[in-house]
Amino acid sequence: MKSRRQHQTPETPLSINEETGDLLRALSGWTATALIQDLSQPLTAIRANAQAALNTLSTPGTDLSMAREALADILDDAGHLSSMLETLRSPLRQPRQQVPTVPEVEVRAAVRLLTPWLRNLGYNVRLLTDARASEVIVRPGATGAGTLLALLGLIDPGRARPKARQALTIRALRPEAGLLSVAMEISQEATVVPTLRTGAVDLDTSDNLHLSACISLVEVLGGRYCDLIDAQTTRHGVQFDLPLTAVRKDLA
Amino acid sequence: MSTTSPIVHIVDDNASVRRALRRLLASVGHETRTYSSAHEFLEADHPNAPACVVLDVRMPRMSGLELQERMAEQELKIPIVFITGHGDITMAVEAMKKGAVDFLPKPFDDQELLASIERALTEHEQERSELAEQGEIMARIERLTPREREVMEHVITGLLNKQIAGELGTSEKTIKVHRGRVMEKMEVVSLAELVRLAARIDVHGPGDLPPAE
Repeated sequence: MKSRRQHQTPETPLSINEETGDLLRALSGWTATALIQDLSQPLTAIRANAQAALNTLSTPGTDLSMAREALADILDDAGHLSSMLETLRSPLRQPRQQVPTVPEVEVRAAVRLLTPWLRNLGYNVRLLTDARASEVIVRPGATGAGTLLALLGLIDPGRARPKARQALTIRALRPEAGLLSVAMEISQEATVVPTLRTGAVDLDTSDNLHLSACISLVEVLGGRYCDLIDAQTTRHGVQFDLPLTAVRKDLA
Repeated sequence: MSTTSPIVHIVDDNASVRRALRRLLASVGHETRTYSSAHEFLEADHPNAPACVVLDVRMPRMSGLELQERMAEQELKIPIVFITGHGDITMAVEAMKKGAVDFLPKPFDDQELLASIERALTEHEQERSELAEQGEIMARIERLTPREREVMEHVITGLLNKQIAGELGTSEKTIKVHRGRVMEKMEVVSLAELVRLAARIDVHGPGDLPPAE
């Protein structure tokens, strides 16, 4: 997904408003992509099942159990679609909440988590409170997946420029949103393009839209994803792998 | 060639879509096999039968486009019909360039899918038939002696026995004998037929035939 930033020179710093605008535009695109993906699955199944049931019912003397199963699956998929719409509607019904202030410890912990990786890429990471720095805002109510999305907005390799981005500020607007719920681990493999691995994102089934948005974004950035399965073969998370542009001269 | 009925392989990580497609295809008489991942498809045994793959683009671990590449690497030549919930033009162009039969955005029209599957199966059937024919021609060529191969390569260029004898440094009479054996072993009765057979395996003149083992 292209952002306005790509048309500017690497040295031109963007204001926080411009950065936020860019991120919001990108998020809208990703959300739309995720919605299309999530709605298309049950719709595809409903159409195919309906046609299969019609074909079966149109053939005299055939076993009707297949048609019954198809109709039962249509009901299930329709129910799935309804619950998705309910999920989409629910935030609109909730009253706007007061945003609590940020405890500094949360911000410091987040920076501590990011620092080794960013330094490895040649960035100078400091905790700043003024507008000189680029910002990532973790929105109120963000979940692990939502946080990941925000972080991915920050590390988009197409947007990363060594000179334009020498400092970062990470501000958690709501500490309990779980900024640190995304675990990050830097690959130590001697590759020109280092890989960022984020893992163990806690999944909530009602949060599938966020997850889809993350998956879409990871794919747009040329990354991969896979399910994290535990010993009981239960899916407990998704792992994302992303290629990143190396900015350190000795890495390039 | 095997006489097994055509098989439609369905590879999609979404169980609901997989089940619905299997049901739809079964309702119109297709034999199907379903796989929840690209790896599962690659690890499965694929019978010697006309087939096609209905393949989802977005899947964990290995995407549909990656599977297409792996199939090409492994020379698993089964035509692919891509289905996707969020395909863009670039993705579709890439898939089509690599030989996909079609690229259908979900939710697709059932008739459109069935038409694509029919096209893919016909394409695979033709390809298999051509391969079988080429195999049969090669089997006949295997029966030729090295000298007969040489004579055949010259005969199909339209040279007369006398000219071939001059080229190969032997007598016209010997070439006539070799020519008769070539026609017999290749199971043809005319030069035109021999030329047509040779063209099917891309043999048009001296040096085109693989060396005899």
